[in-house]
Amino acid sequence: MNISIANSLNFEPAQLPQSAQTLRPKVRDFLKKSLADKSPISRSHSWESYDEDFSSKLGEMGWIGMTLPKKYGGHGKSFFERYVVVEECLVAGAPTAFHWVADRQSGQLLIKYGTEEQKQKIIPDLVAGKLCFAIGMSEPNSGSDLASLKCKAEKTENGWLVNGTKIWTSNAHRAHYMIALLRTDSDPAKKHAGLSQFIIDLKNTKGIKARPIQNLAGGKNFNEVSFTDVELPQDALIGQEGEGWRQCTEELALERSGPERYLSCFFLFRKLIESMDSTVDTYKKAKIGSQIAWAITLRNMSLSIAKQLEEGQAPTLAASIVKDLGCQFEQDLPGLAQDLCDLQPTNEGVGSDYQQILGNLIQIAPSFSLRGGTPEIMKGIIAKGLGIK
Amino acid sequence: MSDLKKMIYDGAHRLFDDFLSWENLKLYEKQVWPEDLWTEFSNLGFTNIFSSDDQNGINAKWTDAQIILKASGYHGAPLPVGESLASNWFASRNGMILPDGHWAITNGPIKIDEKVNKVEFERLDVAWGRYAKQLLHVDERRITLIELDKNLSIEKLSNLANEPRDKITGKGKVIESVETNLTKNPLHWIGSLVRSCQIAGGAGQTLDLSLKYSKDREQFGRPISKFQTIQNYLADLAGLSASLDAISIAAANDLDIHGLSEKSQARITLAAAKCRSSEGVEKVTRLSHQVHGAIGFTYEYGLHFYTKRLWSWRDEYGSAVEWGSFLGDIALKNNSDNIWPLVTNEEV
Repeated sequence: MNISIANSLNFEPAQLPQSAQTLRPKVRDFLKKSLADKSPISRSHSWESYDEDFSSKLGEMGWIGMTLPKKYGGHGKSFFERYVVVEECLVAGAPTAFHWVADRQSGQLLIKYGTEEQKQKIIPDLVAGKLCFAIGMSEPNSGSDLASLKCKAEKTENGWLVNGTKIWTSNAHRAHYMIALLRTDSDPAKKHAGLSQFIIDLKNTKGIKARPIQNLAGGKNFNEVSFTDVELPQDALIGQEGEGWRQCTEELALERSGPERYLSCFFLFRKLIESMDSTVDTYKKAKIGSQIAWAITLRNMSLSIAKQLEEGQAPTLAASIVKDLGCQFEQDLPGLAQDLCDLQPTNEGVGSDYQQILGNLIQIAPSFSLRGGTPEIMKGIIAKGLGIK
Repeated sequence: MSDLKKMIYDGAHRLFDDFLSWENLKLYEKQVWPEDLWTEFSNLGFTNIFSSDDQNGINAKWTDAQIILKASGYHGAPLPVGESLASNWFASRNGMILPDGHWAITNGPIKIDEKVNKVEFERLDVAWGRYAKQLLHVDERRITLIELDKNLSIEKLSNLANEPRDKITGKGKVIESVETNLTKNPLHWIGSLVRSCQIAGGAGQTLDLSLKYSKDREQFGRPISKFQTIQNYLADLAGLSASLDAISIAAANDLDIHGLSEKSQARITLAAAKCRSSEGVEKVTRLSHQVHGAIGFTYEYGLHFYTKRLWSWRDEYGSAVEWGSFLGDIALKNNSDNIWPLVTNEEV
């Protein structure tokens, strides 16, 4: 028989276990109550909206760090239960930015590679929704070519000395910790092997400056972070020296296939449907239906990957496909809304809720295909998986 | 993949691989009935897959059957594979035993004279109808097996891939008739799943062919697969193909779980599957033809066996607009709080 790539790209259906299904109405109920007084525009910011109080309330409910081991204060639940909490938060437009990175990846990374002391010190607070993490990857001259990064950590007698600059770091100006990918070996032959991961205490370390960068819509979420002779303790190194790239790639698999990869605009989609008359013509109905069909498809794919992660697999190729398709889907939504509903987009404070949400999402949509790996990079990974690169 | 699924997968692909070279596909496009292939297909038990053990079946589910459908789409099988599986499913779940290897099925209007058990019909849509001796008629209330009269009037029509899509006029007599309780127009729903799975299979074939061609074909001194534009085309094609695969399996799975009553939640996933697969055909065929360049536009090279089927299947059992507007209508009539439960497939 011929070797078929097509028939090896499987997304087996994943059925949510009963425990996850019974959780859903509880999460919905909680969100309905705790988001009642939030403005629609703040809800449209979804996982980029930052709210410490909300995060600690979610932590109290036991819904942050759900998959982390009980030994460190986690809840020992499956990926599926976490999945339900996350998708319900996104759809409701809950402000999850404060705990987002900690919950999605930093906690898992520390459990896997952190020291016993780090786990005991950090995980309980993380699970309580009291800690905000930032991801220190991109640099001014290292974007898609991440492995060319230069921000360096040199070994000293007592630990490490860090110098350099990170950029596009969300929440660095207010986060407690950064997990940074730094260069520990500048031998050009060790482009990837010269990288290591570090945990940096942003609140109690000297020499770090975070300068917020305003985005095109006026928001200030991301930063340029400079490190000048920053001293880190020995145990700031996470995992093995020189293993940073591999560890980071594992982290990215968690980043690429989650429900946030297609649900960023779902709040707008709901508002669009509210703003439309149910007697619109067949063609407009079909456009709405086609988006629902896409959402159902992407959710099935994303859930299938959650299942593979739960089973301990590392579906890098499949995760990149979900990221690439999900991004196209959510970037298409604002334009579709403009076509289907004759209400102009507006800036905050002007026009109806729908108009403001539309205005906001049109402007932030370009960032959807920048964060977590660009389509150019995703297509490269897919091409590699297909054996042509 | 379970052992049963693996067995079905291997059996179906090996069979189609043996019989469906491009040479044979060319022959069958002249509308020659592939009797040997059909006999083998039947011998493997595929026409009987949903039947119970005592009827020589294996009590299969749609998640098993979709493997055969995808394989038939992948190889461009010039047989009523989908029609046969649909017939077997409708009959077996209602306790009706069909003659070996039955496939002819319709949901078009027929007139039944119950006193004498005779039926009459006019321009009835029956895929591959010219070869039919018996016909299964299904609607939401009743499933009827009909022996067709010999002197039918047959309009020999076909789709772009020359698969027979006939209209038959004439009479027949009722062999057996049983009551059932299904959603309206049940064959349209099952047909939509059948075509969604076949489209996913066909899309997979165009991906595999495009990959192979891009590695073999050299221009500017290197295989065209080394050019980033081609890599992007192929990455898009792979993503799309995988997405069609995923949604058609999800639809099969939901049909297994929820059945096909008027209120079944499976209807949402079935509609989503045909909407997405019909929409997907556009880009799948465009990308695979683009990668192939002029050779893919020739009759000699076989890409067209699959793309012509895709272009036809796109409309058969409902277009993207039809299924999309079905979903859109539900969304717009509901409270916007109920849009998300549509996606998570909860009762709304």
